[in-house]
Amino acid sequence: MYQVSFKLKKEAPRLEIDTLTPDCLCLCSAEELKSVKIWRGKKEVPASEHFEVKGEPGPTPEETMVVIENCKPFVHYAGMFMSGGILKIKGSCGNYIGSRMTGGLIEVEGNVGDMVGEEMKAGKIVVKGNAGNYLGSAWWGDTTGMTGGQIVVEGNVGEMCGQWMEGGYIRVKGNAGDFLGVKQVRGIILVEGDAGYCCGAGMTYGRILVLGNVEILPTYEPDGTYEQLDILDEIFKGPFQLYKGDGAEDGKGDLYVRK
Amino acid sequence: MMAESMIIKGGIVYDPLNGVKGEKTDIMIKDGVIVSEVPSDAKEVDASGKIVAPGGVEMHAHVAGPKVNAGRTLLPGDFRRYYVPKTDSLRALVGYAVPTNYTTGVKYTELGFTTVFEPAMAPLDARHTFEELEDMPNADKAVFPVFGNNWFVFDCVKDNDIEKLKAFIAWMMTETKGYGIKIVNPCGAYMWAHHHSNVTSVDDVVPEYDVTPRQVLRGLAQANEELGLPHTIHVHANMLGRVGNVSTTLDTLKCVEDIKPHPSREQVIHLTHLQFNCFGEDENHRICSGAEDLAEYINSHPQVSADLGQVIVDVPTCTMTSDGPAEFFIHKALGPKAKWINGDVEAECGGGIVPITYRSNNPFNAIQWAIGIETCLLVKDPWRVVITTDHPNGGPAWYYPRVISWLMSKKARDKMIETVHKSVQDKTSLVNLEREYTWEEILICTRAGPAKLLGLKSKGHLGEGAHADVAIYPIDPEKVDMANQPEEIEKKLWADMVIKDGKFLVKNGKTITTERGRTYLINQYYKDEEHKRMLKDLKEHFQKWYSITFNNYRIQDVFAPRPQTVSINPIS
Ligand SMILES: [Zn+2]
Repeated sequence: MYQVSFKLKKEAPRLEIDTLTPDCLCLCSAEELKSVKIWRGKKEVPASEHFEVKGEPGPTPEETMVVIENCKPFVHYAGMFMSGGILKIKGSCGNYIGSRMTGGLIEVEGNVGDMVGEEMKAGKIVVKGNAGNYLGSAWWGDTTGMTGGQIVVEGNVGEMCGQWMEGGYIRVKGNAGDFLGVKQVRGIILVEGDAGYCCGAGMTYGRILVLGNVEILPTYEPDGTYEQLDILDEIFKGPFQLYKGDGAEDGKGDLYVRK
Repeated sequence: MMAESMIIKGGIVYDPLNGVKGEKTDIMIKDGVIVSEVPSDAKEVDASGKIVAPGGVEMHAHVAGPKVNAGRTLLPGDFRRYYVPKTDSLRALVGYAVPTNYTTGVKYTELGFTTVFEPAMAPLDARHTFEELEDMPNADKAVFPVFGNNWFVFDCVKDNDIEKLKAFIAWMMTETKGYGIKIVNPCGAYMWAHHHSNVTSVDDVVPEYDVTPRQVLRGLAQANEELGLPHTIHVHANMLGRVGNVSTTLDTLKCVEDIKPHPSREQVIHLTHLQFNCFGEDENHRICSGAEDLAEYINSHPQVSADLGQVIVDVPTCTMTSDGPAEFFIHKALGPKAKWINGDVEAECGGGIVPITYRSNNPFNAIQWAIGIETCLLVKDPWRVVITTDHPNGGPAWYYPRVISWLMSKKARDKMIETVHKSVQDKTSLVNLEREYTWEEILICTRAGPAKLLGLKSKGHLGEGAHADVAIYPIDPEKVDMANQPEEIEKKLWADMVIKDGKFLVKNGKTITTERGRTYLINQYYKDEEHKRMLKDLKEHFQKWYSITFNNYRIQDVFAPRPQTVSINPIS
């Protein structure tokens, strides 16, 4: 696999690096690599002003790995619209990571901001640290969230995780904030820790699993118990209590909570 | 930039109102109007191998007013569907189905349209509407205030006092700078606001007033024809969106059958966005097309004109009408994902907004898609059917080229029929229709026809004295066989050059500058004694029912800075 690395050398209040993806960089010559444009605030500047550029991209996105080193939370839009290949982010990152991506893999070693995997269609995002609010959700005011792919967060996530989610799989190894899976339509959300208030509010279909503690909304009705659950070929030992809801929206979603 | 004299050379000119059908002639422009002679130093514009047509006339597009703004609020995602950063000559363009006013104006110009009418203004919201229109560049515009649920109209109709109604209409047009009478679900919006119900036929009675939609329609139509407003009544019929509503629509048209048109025209009623009011009902009480019944009626009744309200499938858009109950019905039908707003405007009308995406795999939506073009193909007289999408209700107006490709090419239709739900094949007659529109007919349906129906004397044609609004499309009808290359139509119906009032707005398909359009309006009261008699009652009406005072109702002249007054011609 070909590899290109961008090492952050000069800070700025805000950088937008949606051009630093395997899709945009594959086939670039060394000269072109240096002149790839990114946004600094409302000004377009060459990436080489802020990053040390090394390596050589492959002929297709799939054969290209982009590494962002020393990444900081003021760097936004990493991997937006990405369709293939690998994007590795060493350090933490800002908002909109993997937003509307259609394939490939994004790995972040640190924490990420809000709107990660917003409206993503396919591909995979792995976050080793914590994630902010609106993970895998719809754009503000829109009504279609993530429709496919996978997001794995090893730490905690903020509020509104999986809002308007219509497919795919979100796995949170830590705790989730309030309004987990609000307005969820399809897809699976698995939280290994606790979930906050109003879990599954307005959910119509889809599945939420909470292995830790969660307060069940009064609009959910108990519907049976399960000894174990099989999520994408992984067995989770129960026993689980199933709740159906959200009744306030005439919903038929499944909320499983470990007893 | 001063309006210069120019001569457009070598183009293939279509000017249906003057009987020019694709002839190679030159068009001469001086001081913003079409002339027959220009000075020898006139600028030459080469249009060889291109279609030269009058600027398009959009007679029904919701482009300004509180409801459009509410649509923007409900569709924040719409603003990232289409955006162009600002340039030296243009502001940034933002939005797609309900774009900013600026974007709307620019996109219409690029389509070759130079006149845009906003067809539903709540009279109380006139100020807001005109402020938004002022921000819409290029196009000449006008608005239709809504009358069909106005309490004062009910009063006049109940007493059968047509003289008072005429005085009221003229007063309302003058105070709110209106142009024509819009009627939206007559009596239905009132019933929705005050009884949480709707009217289901033209003979349902409004309890407090003891009037029916039939009386309201007849009263307003008669008053309109006697008053001689430039346009007929512009009607959004009852039962919009309901299965089997074509019978109500036919009843609506029959209501005014015996009313005598004003001597200046043949029509007495314009049925707007006919597609939404043209649903039949099959033996299982499911939707089927009512196009054949409606088209047959239109073909045999010259007093009726209509526009399509064509649906565009699989494109996120937004419905917005003054028909509150219909919007609530749409919201309920779409389920919990549908956002919605319903509103009431005191003593006048109401409204609703619901974002929607018509789905090609949904049998109901697919039949809706078919009904529009089916009716358009079945109506024999192109002068009485106008191409619209009821922007943005059926879809954004930016899909006109595609609509035209369906009308001009059976191949394009058949390709579309294959991709939409198969219900289209047995519930509509679209598959059996062989007709293909000619260029002349298309240009009638998009400019000459609507200009004539709206009573715009200097629009929609290229005769001497007409406004120099010219759209030039990069198509050579002799070289490209439209029926076999529908993709070409779609690409090339974005104008190559657009001239408005003798000034270049679009060159090489790109907008180069924007200008301010004029506002068509009526500024004339009815006979003095009738006006005074009406005012006496109206002032009392304001005291009783309005939250604003009579004197604050009139909108100031500053709201329409470039007025073009149209006179009314009452018959005595
Ligand atoms: Zn409309």
